[in-house]
Amino acid sequence: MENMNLALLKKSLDVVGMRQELIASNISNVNTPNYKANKLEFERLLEQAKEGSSLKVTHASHLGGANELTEINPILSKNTGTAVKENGNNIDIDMEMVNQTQNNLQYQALTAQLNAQYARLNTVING
Amino acid sequence: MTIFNSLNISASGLSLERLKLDTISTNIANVNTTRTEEGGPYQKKEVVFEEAFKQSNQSLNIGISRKSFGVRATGLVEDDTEIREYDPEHPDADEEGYVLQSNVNMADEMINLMTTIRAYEANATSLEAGKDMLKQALTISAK
Repeated sequence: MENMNLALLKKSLDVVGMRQELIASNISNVNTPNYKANKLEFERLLEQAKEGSSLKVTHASHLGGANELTEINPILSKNTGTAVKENGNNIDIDMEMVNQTQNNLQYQALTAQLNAQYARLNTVING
Repeated sequence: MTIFNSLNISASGLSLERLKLDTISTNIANVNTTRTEEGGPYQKKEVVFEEAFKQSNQSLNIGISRKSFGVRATGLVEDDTEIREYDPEHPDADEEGYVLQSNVNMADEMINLMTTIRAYEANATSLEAGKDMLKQALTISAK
């Protein structure tokens, strides 16, 4: 369980780090003609998998079992939902700035979790 | 270094906005220029830019080989609309008394200036956020 936690935290940090790149790219392309916003979906997939994971898969032919949570990969998609400016660009700068703050806080939360995890391990080792 | 990607992306945005700012400044400075080295009045210049891409070598398997990597300038275009004004006293006036004026529109330039400054600020904020995250990463198990 401990290892699983660390692996999941590592994966989440990777995803949040990559999302930062995407948001930075979206912001730098705020006026680029025909640019469409990129987004990265991950937490929702994790949530879905967690819901499915109440059923334990004990046999390879079992249906509906969740994969290992760490095997879930983020999905990159183009956002076409928001309003399009006249140059074909659909970056909503307010959305991007909020997403960025959110992402940043999420990174902080994850590092805090990771540090706590290591602190616990440390306690176990040093008594 | 891959971990500095987000900083480099923001930097590409900053440098593009800086280039736009320089171009706008040149346009404004030359609003009344009727004589240039190439002959004729000063022609308004505009930066053209597009999304930049990078081959992806992400550790995360998300099924793409190239990803958005900020923005890059592709060139400068000149606006070649002609503006003629009647001013027979002007040294550059033709026989009929008309002078070819620069086609810089001050109102347009000021609006572009504001947009550019705001975009620059947004990129600077983004850079700051990316930097914060890297600093956070350094605190992992730092005790």
